[in-house]
Amino acid sequence: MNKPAPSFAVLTEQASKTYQADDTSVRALDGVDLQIERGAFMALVGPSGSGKTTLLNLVGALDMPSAGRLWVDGKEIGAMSATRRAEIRLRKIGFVFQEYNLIPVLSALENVEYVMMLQGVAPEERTRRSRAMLAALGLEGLEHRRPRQLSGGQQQRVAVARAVVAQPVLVLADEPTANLDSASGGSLMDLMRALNERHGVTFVFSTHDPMVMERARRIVRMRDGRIVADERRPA
Amino acid sequence: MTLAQLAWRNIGRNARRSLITLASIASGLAALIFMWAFIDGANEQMVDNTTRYFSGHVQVHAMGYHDDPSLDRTIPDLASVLDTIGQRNDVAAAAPRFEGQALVALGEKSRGVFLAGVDPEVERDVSALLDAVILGAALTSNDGAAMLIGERMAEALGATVGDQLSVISQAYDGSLAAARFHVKGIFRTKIEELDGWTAITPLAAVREFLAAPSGATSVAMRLRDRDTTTATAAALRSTLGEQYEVVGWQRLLQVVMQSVRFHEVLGYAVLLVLFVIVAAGVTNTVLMAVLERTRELGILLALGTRPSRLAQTIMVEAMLLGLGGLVLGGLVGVGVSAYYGASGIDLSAYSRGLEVMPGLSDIIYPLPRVDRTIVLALIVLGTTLLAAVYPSLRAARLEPVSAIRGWESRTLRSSAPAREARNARHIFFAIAARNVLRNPRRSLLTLAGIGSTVVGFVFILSFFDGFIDQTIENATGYVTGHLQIEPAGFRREMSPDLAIEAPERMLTELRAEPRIAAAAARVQTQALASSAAKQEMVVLMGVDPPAEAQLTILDRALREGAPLAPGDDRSVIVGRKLAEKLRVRVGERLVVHAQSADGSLGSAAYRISGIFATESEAFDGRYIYIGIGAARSLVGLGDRASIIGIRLKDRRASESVRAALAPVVSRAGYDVVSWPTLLPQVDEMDRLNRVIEYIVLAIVFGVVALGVLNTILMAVMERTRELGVMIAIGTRPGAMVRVVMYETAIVVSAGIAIGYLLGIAIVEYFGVHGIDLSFLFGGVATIPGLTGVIYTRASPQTLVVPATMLLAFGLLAALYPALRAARLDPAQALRHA
Repeated sequence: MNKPAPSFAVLTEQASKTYQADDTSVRALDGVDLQIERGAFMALVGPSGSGKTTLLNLVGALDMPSAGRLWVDGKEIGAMSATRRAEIRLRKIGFVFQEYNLIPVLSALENVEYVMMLQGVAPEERTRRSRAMLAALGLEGLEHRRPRQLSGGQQQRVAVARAVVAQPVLVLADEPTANLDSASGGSLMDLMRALNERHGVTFVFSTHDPMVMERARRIVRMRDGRIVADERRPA
Repeated sequence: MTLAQLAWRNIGRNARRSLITLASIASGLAALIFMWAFIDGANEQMVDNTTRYFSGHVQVHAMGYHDDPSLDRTIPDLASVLDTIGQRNDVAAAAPRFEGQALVALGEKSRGVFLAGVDPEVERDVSALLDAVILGAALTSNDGAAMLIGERMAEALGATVGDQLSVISQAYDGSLAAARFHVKGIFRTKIEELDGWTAITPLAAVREFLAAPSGATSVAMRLRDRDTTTATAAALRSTLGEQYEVVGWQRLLQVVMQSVRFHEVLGYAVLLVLFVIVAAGVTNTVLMAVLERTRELGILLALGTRPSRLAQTIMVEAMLLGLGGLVLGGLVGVGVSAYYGASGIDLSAYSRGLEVMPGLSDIIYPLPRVDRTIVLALIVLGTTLLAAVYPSLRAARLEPVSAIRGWESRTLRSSAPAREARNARHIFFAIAARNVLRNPRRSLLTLAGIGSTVVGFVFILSFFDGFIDQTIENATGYVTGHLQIEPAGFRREMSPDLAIEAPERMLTELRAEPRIAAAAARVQTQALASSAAKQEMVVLMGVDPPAEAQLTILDRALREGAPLAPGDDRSVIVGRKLAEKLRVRVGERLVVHAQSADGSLGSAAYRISGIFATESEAFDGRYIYIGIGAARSLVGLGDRASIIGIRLKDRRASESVRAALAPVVSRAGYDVVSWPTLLPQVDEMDRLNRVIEYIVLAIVFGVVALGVLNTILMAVMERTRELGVMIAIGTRPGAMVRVVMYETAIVVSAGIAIGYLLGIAIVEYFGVHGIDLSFLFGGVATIPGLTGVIYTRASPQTLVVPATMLLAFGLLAALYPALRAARLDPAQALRHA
């Protein structure tokens, strides 16, 4: 299977990851085969240490598999240089983190614009899209606030705007609701679901949150570095 | 777990930060130790060489001889003096000498010299002069009228081994003695006083020449340990009684003492500034290392650690790091000093600069001393602990919750919306700039560290520049002017037949040159000045008062009487020191003998109209001024002049004006020389000054680089997660380097700018008010114009280059943290707490 069908945003083939810590090696991911189609709204679920984050890091080109292969949007990540992988992340992947992780010295608008700046999108175009995206996520009027001056829910919505605005192939969200109260978490999920349905943005979550699982259309369950279940639900 | 254990683990936990702190303490201490060892080594060498070559450590004379050496004051009972000395265990050797002044001549060239008769057998055990012979052979006891002369004197007289020298002196009985001595050998000590002005003969030959059948004027001693000089001298003084004076090397070698003093003043100034710089570096590092751990300290408090215990832990930590730094810095400092102490530091590139220090050779051997190392170590340790007091008190007052959330949440400010960055390049700059403002405490500390370092070196460079500039200005003002036109070979021989024809025409031409402020003709020759009491070799200057007043500022140094009046051919102006030596006062007569241009001896009597005093006793004891008409008639020059002195509108143009004049002047058979040639001591001080400046700058660069490395590395480590995010969302490694470098550039440039502003403000202040150091070297200078009150002076050419280089060094130091930021593994960085 050298030429993965382009309809898949992500494809893994026996992907494994082993961490070396002192004398012991930990197999965090153990021969995972996974296909994520475009337009998916998928949750990775499992107890701590099951390999969710490791898998998410591989899919996000943040890390490289120790064994097996992995394609993102048809490009194999395995042997890429740090700079090439940065390029993949810049062009194809959006990230939402548990702790928001906005750049603290940039305003909300600049945080959203940042990725497009790196991509070289023209300033007017960039600002227009960023403002529109912030407005769509209910953050109108807060464009010039620094992250510290926003609530957790607002920060996470800025993070979603940043992840989505450059139209990546997929958006990876690592426990996006873990630091939010249930109301903020719920509305954030609804927002992402809307982006997925209206604009076809592919979302992959790792989560413990039942609220996230409820809204996911596919749930991949992991344990000890392996996929133990893969459930799909009707939209 | 004990405090020490906890502190020790804290140190080990962040090995990199601890290493930087350690390195900063250690390198500071090492630099201080080395610097002091260098100063001590140079001083030691200077004193050792000068005492070793001739003076010895202690001399015994008849009472009053040192201040007024005359043949009337020979040692009353030489045998008993030698016997008394011989019984002392602390004296290694003693040798009698018979010393006097003499005029030595070869052909038409002559020179007033210090003549010393020595007993070659015992002299060898006291001094090394007999072993410094480079041509011919040393003296032996069997030599008759043989003489050793210095290399410079040989050059000046054009003498070589085997030549017969005519020697003239006043004999023991007051008559004029004349004899011929043949040059048996030529010695080289690199000490100007010896090489240029000293002649050595066998003791018996001098006694015969001066008609002093026995006895000696002095007994020179070498001690087993030079450090006992004062004690040994005191002991001998009480044993020998009131008929004798016992003089230690400190007084025998006033010029050396002055150099040591001068060297020490410069050295201590450098040490002081270095210390400030090192203290700033150490304080910065220690403060930073604690302040960055707020969160961790908050957790310790949350877990129930008592605030006082927390403060103690931090103090113990600083103490451990300080001690580690001391051991390391001590080892490196002493090690490097000892290594160079054995192999020497070759400064032959600056050898002219070192000649200002008599007895100093091209190779300096640093001398690390245990007591100084301990003092420095304690001071540096104290600084380290002092630096830890504030953060440890702060830590004790932390509120656990806000500390765990980080201080940032407390320094939250509603910043006005910044101008949005317009493109990718701008965004990296904006991120860097805002990061600088984000942790104001750290940025301020870094700013303060770099700033105070810059203030330190701006001050010290300006101090030296001002000092040297003033010295040059004064010395050229008193003595030489900026340029001098002279017959070829004049300065070497100072012979009266070397003169400039028709100086008036040349003066008219020179005065028309726009860059020349003044020009004056002078007569200059060696002469013998006699009062009723005594006679002294002097330099006779014949000057035209109105023209001279344009050229030099000697009138300002006049302390008694009146200046020379134009056309007054009966008066003389003398220095205070000479007046004391000759025991004359204003209004009294002075007879001057000088060789005429035709070879005959001319003499004339003048009335002392004025007495001047400059900072230099050597100058005040050696120069006399009469009207140019009187000098011309005394030396038989007609309307000729010995030299023409020139003052320029701008001293810095000396070299270019000299080069412009040279072809014209040389066609007439004359030389034109500039002040560095005329005042080699001053020029040499200037060069030595450069050497010191380089050393200071090298240390400054090191300290700043370490400080920047430390700060930026901490900034990067603290933001690991944030940088990880930037990488995760697609920022290229190259861009990460840029962010860190921009940040460094902002902080370092600001630090440099602040440091310069403050430094120049301080320099300007002292540039007006002056720093009075006259108590340190008043009166004993070898050149007039070596001032005691120093006006600092910021000179762009010394200050601009270091600023640029400092920025470069800072950026270079930031490269490591920048590369670290670029190479962060995003997956790991995101997990970073």
